[in-house]
Amino acid sequence: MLVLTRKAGESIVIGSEIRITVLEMQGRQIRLGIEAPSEIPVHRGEIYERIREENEQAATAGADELKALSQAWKQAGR
Amino acid sequence: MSDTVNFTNAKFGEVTVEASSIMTFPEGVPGFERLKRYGLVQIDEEAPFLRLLSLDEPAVAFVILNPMSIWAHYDPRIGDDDLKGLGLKGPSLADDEDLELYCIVTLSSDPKHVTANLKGPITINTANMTARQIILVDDRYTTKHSLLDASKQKEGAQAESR
Repeated sequence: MLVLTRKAGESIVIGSEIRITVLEMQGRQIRLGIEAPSEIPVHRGEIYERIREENEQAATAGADELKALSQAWKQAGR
Repeated sequence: MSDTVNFTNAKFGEVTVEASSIMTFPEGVPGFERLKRYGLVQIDEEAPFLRLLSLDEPAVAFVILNPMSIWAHYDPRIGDDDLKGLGLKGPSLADDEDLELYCIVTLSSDPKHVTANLKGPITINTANMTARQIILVDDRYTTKHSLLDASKQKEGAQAESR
């Protein structure tokens, strides 16, 4: 991992299109400004990880489970 | 006559989809970034659930659902960058008739434990069949909303309003 030290107001440029700027520091929190092209999604790390884990669990969808769900759905009167 | 595409899915077997129902996720979805092309399969007996099957990896199959059919007040705020990434203008969902919204369902052998991911909805621009999984910054929604519970609550609410 590349480790850089930055002060408030300073930034890091990744490639030619991504810029991350340290806006301010307050106690244990740091506010970052991120400029990136719209085709590059930017996410908070822990939320991204939660979505990734859920996707991995959901991606093994099987025909039998779907059939069971469809039947339960109809029985519930939906 | 419409074009169709055939492929094989490990769980659902031989699949034939309309070429027009194939979408591209330019960034993939988290955990499956390499997989770009998915086919949408609708089967009447499975409604309101749909299958979203990877054309690039036979082992990958999702089940999705229109969240509005259960959570009528579902209100994801989709940011400008996400709309732009899809090739949509916005600024609100209602303004884009080309935008379709789904959520991924996590199946279980026990239907009572089936959940829907309202935190990471799938958005599709049907005009160019470009899709993206949006990650919401919204504490009202999580990755696991119980499906059958929600449907019961909805029935209850309707009964009360009669």
